[in-house]
Amino acid sequence: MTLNIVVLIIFAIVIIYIGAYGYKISAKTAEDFMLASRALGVLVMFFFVLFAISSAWTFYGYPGYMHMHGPGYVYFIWGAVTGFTCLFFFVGPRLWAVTRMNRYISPLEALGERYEMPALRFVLAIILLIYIVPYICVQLLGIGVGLEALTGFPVLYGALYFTAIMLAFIILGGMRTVAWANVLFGLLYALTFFGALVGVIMVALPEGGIMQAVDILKETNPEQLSVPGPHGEFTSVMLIGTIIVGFLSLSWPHIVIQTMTARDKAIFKYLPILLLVFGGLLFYTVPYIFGAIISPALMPELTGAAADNAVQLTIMEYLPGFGLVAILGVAAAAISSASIQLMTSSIFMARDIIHGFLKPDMTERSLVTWTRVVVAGLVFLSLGLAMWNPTALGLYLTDIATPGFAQWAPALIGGILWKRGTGWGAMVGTVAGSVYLIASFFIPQLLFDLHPVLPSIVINIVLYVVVSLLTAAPSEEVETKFFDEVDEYLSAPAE
Amino acid sequence: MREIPTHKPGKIFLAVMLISFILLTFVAPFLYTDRLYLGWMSGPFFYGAIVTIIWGVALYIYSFYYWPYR
Repeated sequence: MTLNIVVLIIFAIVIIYIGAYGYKISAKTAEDFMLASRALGVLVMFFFVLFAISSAWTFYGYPGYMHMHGPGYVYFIWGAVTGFTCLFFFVGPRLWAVTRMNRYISPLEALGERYEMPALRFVLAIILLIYIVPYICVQLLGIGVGLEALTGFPVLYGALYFTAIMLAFIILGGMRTVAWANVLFGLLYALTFFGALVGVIMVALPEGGIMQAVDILKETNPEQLSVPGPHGEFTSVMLIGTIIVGFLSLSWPHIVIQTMTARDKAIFKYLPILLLVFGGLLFYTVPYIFGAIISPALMPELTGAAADNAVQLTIMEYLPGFGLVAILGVAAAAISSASIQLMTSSIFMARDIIHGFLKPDMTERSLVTWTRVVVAGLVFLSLGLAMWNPTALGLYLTDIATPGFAQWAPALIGGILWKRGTGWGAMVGTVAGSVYLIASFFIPQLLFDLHPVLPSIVINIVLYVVVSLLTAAPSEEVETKFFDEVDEYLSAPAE
Repeated sequence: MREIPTHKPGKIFLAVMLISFILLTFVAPFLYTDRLYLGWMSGPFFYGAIVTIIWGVALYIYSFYYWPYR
């Protein structure tokens, strides 16, 4: 127990030091605090993006679900990896260019100008905040539960501890510190996760490694090795829905905003390939092997809610001395995701709502101060929500947050790539899709037995296109600013 | 994205990405069996990895040699 506390204290000191250093070298401008002065290089961006995506879900939810239902869930990963690739190659360069040239700090600010409809900026901010804040809750809760399982500390203590660390380094250093910390968090997470997998295989499966686990499953539970899985979950239709939902992850606002932090356009050549190879093929194979093969072979008795903890319980069973390291790795993953989600929500609140509508004459210094205040307010709101109703939050994440984020995708992608997209099209599509999504949770028949995102996004897209074509085209000024000048900027030699 | 379909390499690149994704999404789910590839890979994992490699190679070739904004 004493060792646990010492390690946790050292971890906190290192993270806060990074925050303090980030504060020391920061330019103290809004652009620096919120977008790291748009100066992140390819290596930092890669870790920043990959580990903002890879939350505690990659340790608990993802392998845990495969432990119960077989390998079909990997389709979500393939969808997500291809979706993020499309974001960073097809949409990212243009969003980066237009926000850089016009000094937009928030993607919603850019869309408000693109669609010549300030109200759309406000509506998008509200909708995205509703979905993103509970996402932060789930990360905090996950850390608290993981720490409780290992140390016996009450869930609230663990959640408070990590909340305090996260608050300190975000308020001190802003987006730059969040990005740098992700390099550290990412390395810690990747090494501990990979190390744990290798360790468990060496201890528990010394005669044949992964193949020994496969042989065990062939004897005891052969349905675990293929689709539709032991309980028939991953039918052909379910696989199609799973990959589409994964693909729509490209609209996660805390990932979209990262396109705006890139130092130059060359990053958009390297980053998609790095995400595909090192993310999709290498990093995400670790939880796949753990959840689809190793833990079902070694711990078949884990079912129901316990299966969510399959990886952690397998590590604690076969590598008892590695437990704290593994939890720190998971905490690193959760903090890396929660911190960028918190930073993004704070930018939406401070820049888009407070500065955009309530205090338009705010100075830059005030904007930074307000962003820090909002970070603190949102994190304690998230913590309060997490403690109030933890059970419901798991469902909120998978069935509301992910489909919820997708509702701004047509407006975002259309705004960047389609000249004919109009403000009314974006407004009607986004609001109708969001309302349909919320209604479907009270009237399940509206889903037609599909994943919640599918009917709502179809309605959103259809209305966006139809209403855009029926309303007046955007002005020439918009066409020049968001298309002609962007083409010119991207065609120019690198700075 | 708007610049990509304006030339032939871009059209080929988009076709490769789109066709491979459509096959993985809408065709492969109806064809999986209980066969394991390389001794441990399920069909969904194996074919997803193949498409990922295809996308990686296509992206490398296009973005480094043909992309108008390279």
